[in-house]
Amino acid sequence: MPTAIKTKIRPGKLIVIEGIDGAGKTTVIRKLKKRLRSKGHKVILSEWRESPTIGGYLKQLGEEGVKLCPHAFSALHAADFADRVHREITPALDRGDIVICDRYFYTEIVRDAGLNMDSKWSEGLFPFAPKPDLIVYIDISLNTSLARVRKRIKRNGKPGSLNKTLQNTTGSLIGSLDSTTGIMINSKYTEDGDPMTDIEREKIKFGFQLITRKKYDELFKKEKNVAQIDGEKGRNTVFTHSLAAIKNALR
Amino acid sequence: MTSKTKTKKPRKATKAKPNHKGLLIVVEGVDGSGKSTQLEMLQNWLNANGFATVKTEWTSSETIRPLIKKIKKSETIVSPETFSLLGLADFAERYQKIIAPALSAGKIVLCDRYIYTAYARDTSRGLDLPWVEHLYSFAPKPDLAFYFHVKPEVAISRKINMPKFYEAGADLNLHPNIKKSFCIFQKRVINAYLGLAKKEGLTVVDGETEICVTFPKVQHIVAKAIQDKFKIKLL
Repeated sequence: MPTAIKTKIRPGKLIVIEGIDGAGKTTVIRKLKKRLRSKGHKVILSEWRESPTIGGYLKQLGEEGVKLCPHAFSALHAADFADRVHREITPALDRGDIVICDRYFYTEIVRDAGLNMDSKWSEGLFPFAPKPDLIVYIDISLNTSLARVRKRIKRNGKPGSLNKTLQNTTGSLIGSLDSTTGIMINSKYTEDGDPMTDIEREKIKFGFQLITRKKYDELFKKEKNVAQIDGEKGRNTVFTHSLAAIKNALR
Repeated sequence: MTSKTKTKKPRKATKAKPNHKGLLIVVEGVDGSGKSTQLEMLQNWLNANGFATVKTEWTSSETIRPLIKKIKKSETIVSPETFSLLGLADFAERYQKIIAPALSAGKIVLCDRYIYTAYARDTSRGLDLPWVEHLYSFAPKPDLAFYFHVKPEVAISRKINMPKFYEAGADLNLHPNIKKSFCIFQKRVINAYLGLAKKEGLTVVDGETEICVTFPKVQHIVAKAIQDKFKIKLL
């Protein structure tokens, strides 16, 4: 039951990494995991949209270009999250492990905000989620985010190879937009059927990221255990700062 | 994050009165209560009288149903929260794509199970009612909601086939015997329905009485709602 999960004190530690696309979450997590393990900690990683029960189906829907309505999209991601809480996160916390989450339910809330959904609704979906011991929030400017995502798309293929790009941006906000609003961020055409230019695509993306970043700010101002890291600094600095915050939380 | 305070003080469940052009009629009750039969009769009657009707059933969305079916069939145990959220995803799809458009087009929408199914089943799985109410808070209250009541013994005696895993609440470890588990779970769901019928003012129909006795009563109530909404006299 939600209340039981929320109030129970568990021996493990829950570390959440959040930030908009291109913030460098995946990179820093890889390093953190390695470092913590080398220090003898048991570390498990739980990634957004990666539950064994629902994650595959979600990806399949994305690949097939199935459009879900915004509430269904949120509910399905919440179901995926709930499955990971039940299957991976809670058991690991009970064992006393360190759980690193590549995105947490905050991702869902900021995404919904980006789609102009009722924030009260989104924020009320997750009372069953264990409370993080630390939220590492990697903040970058929108320009940096766009530049990095652009680079990633280039590396992973042209906008034409949509699936590959979506898969590589795990749980990405691009993917969310794509299958909810019908704004095909990676598609070749606008809703009116006109060819969509890269600039148009980026405009949509920019507007969306703008809101999500603002929403992150708003959410994390109310939280106590947040370490805000400047993601504009080099990856080594981001790593050192994140590690310091985690060490502090493990104490 | 405010979810902590938010969840401690759940929003009021009461929704605004329906203000759509159409009419939303729902039937609720456990399997074997006769609700689906009567809903079909109701649809035939309304169609014969020239009304445009749309019917939708619980977990029948094109997009989410296959996933729920797969989980049920494979008897994969998911947590009550997960199971609840999957049902919500299916409902949201049907609400956005079927129910809401039909209501704004002025049609009569017939729902074989509605939000009260989630309320009854999810709380029977141990979840908090305010949370479940919150999940479905985007859905309007129906114009008419019938709850077809049968006693647990009757519902159980009408069940001929072996109960399925989730139908029996086997995910909850209620009893090693699936039939016994089914009985325990049915009792819980029926009790939840009774509570909801009172709280939400659902119209209780005796599902143990012959249909030829209860259906005219249902028709009468529907006719009145149609007269109020569309100013058309049906009976």
